[in-house]
Amino acid sequence: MNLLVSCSGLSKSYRSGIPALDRVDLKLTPGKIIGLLGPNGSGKTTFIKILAGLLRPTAGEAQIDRKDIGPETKALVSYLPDKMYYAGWMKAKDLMDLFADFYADFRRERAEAMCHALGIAMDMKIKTMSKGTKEKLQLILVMSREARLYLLDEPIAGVDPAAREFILRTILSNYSPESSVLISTHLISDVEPVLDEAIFLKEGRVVRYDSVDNIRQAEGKSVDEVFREIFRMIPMGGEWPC
Amino acid sequence: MLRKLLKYDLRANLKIYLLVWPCIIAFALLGRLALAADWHGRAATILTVSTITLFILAVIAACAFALIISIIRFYSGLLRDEGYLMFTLPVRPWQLLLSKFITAILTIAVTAVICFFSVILVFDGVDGLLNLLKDLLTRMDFPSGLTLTLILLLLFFSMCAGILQIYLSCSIGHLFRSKRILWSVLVYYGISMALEVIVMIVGIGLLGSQQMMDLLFAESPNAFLGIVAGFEVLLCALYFFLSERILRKHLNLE
Repeated sequence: MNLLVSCSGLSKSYRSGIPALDRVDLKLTPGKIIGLLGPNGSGKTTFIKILAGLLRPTAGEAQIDRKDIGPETKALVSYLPDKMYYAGWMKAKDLMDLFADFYADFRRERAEAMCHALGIAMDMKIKTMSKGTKEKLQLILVMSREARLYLLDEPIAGVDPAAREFILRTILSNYSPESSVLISTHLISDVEPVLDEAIFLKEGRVVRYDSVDNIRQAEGKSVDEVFREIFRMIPMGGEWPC
Repeated sequence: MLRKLLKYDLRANLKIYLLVWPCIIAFALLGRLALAADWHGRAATILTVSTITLFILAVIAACAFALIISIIRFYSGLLRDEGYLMFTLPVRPWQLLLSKFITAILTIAVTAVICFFSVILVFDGVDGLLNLLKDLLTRMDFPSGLTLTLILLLLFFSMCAGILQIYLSCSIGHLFRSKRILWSVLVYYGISMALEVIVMIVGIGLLGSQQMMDLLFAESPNAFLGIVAGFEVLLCALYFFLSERILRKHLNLE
């Protein structure tokens, strides 16, 4: 099987002792858009950070393209964090230079064309940009790489519907059949139309991993409805207070 | 990859220093003009004193600024949000650390040299500056040149150890979940105190007593300077190794 990501017994505990990830076993293949779905604190960001090489697991192992996580896999992974990672002194052009210098798969002309279409000037200082423009620029840079694996951590959280549409369109139009996109989110209904597969994470454990078609067929419901069912909050005593 | 990292770190620092360095030189030239001018009267005295005071303050501020910038570049570049970019580049943590370190050393060294020669320029003029340079070059050929070289080496390695101690303190401080800057400062003072105790114990243990250490310094200053410089190199290696290990194995970005 053509494996892109493989994890076995992957666990991560922080100092509080509560496991953020608990014995996760997963095998992801290329050519898919995969939703990493779970409520806040379910371990989505921890899982993505381990694959991006920002965190080391407490136990178990993770591989990308059959390589242990390290500089070799970082060259294959394009990561969009859930925060802005720009240096204050940089202009859009400086970031393009940096990506072009460090990533052989960065397609500068594609990035510049997308920036041009959105009216982002290359000599514009990043600190003078609006929050929305910064987010779009970061997504443009990440999606302008011809990476094997795109890790997008909450790309549509806190953005307006127009920006949400732009983000989903950018993801769909830029990824290739050799690569996969892993999108972490708890806003299921917005991403459901673009997903091929869904991973449900609950308290650090994978409770379900299947294709979106199978989930819909087996449950007779949308992925969003299945998500709400799995993660429904039960109040103490079983009833909501009046 | 290290060369590419250096390019970006130097570019980030130069954006700041290309304002700072010309300012010091401008203040030095003003100071020199004020001292050399043949003017008299109360107003002239006030103007001269003000200009020189401004120059001295600028030099002190530039030196403090150089150290602060090197700390900020390390902390915000690797341990805050920018770390998400730097640690996902296809490079190894030691390359990130070394790049920040070399950039800090270069910019601090250039700032120190500019400040030093600016002071000479103000108080001795251009002739005095040239004479000092000639004197320095001549001294290197004398037997005492070895002592001078050892002192310069000691200063350099002390500066390196100082910066790496700050890097290690920040790296340990960032392992805490909150109040990371406060923890970094506490760790820094903790390391400094521990170091003083170790130096005292090891020094006295090896040489017998404090008097023996004083005697060694008086009898053979070159050997003493060499031992201390060697100790600073060891500290540099230890600080670098520990910082790299923390960043590689225990990275804990917010």
